[in-house]
Amino acid sequence: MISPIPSGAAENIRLNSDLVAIPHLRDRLRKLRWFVSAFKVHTSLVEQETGIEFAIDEGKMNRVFFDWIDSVDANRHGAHVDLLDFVRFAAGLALTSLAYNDPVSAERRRAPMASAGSVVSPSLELDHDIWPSGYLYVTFCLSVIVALERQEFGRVVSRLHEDARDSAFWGSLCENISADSRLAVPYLDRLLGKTPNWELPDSVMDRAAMLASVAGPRENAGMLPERGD
Amino acid sequence: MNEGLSARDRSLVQISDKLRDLRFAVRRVADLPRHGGDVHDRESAIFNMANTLANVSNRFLNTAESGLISILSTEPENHSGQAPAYGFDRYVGTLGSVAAPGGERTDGVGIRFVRDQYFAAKRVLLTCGITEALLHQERFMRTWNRCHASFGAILESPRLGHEQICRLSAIYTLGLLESNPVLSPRRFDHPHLEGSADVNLFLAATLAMVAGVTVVNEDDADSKIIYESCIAAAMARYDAIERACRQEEAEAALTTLYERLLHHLP
Repeated sequence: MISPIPSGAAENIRLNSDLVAIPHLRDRLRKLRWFVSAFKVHTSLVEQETGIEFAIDEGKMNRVFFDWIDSVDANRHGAHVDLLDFVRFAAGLALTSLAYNDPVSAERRRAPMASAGSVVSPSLELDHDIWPSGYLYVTFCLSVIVALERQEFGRVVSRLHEDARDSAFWGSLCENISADSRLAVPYLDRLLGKTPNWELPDSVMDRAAMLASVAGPRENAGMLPERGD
Repeated sequence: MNEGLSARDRSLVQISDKLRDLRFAVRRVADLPRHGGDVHDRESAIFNMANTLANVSNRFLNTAESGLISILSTEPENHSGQAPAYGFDRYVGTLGSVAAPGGERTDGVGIRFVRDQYFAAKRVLLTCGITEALLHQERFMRTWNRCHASFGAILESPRLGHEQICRLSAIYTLGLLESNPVLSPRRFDHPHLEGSADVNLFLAATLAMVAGVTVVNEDDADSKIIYESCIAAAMARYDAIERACRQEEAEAALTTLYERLLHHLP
């Protein structure tokens, strides 16, 4: 189901809320079958919203998962420093892997279903025609972040950065991530209003939030993940 | 050198394999295109007769093998690629088949392993679209002979954790790889692979992961999910598996690789 993320502030984000309802989402997304299944559910929702039909290459999708797992495991020490920031970073790594393996192709367009809402609200003017599969990847990773922040930290992500309204930003995102998939991490940080690290995008300990946590522990630092990180 | 397998068990397995050889050869002839052209052509007539005989023999051999399987196996449906997933923990206990009160025999873990893994291999091959493979059950006896001492030492240790399970998978992969149970084809292509793959290497890794994953997931996931997840992992990480098998310390390299993979399956 697609529904707006409730917020006291003006909403400018609307994401796939089905993920929030999945118990132990963080653990489940670390299993191949759940990760692929969650992605397929999200794809169906985006198909309804945009009218674009996507084809998923299962072999590439499996590689997306294992590449992502390898990169998360290589950086897992970050989870012990700042779990909240690590969740965002891990979602950025998922976007990196999706962009690198590019498992989805846009097949054809049909009329969007009138009853479907937006995965991301129209006010953001996200142009899914620029990079249809990229739009699917970005909204999936944002939905995962939103769901995990709700489940694990009781936080509500309600707004994306103002850049998200700028179609030039999406053009730049498409061009640069296609050329260097590692840049998916800072682009996702930018959308979330966090400080991006364009120089060392895949280095977890060089992230602003991690450096801040090391300098002085904050709210979530030391919250060690119990069910595996 | 056939620990845990009685003379009866060995003979039945060997007869089955002989039937499979014969059927495979017959199918090859039956699959050859019939000669057209002049019906009076002597070569063509002989060839067509051989082809017809091959078709008849193929049906007979299928029936014969199915009959034998019904004697050998208490679960004949396994023959059609529906074998359940079994974990390594199934292979602890009495090695040899024993006579139970009332005259019935209870299979030892050796013949149980040979039978289970043969049918598991068949399921993997069929799931991957390899329908005309020549697979020898006797090769699983060789694998059992190579592996059972190591299996026993690990399985009977007081703590069977993730690391031990992954080591079992590594030992099994290498043991099966040495036995090469698939005689034909040697390689195969699949849309989920980035190139062609060695059938025995792929099969060894997949079966080893199935047996490892099932130890901890038997109650959580059905066999179909376990097989499909392990096949997907073996295809996605085929290159890494191949590299690990080539290393001098292959068992350690495979154990490390499985430690990463098995956590995320099924």
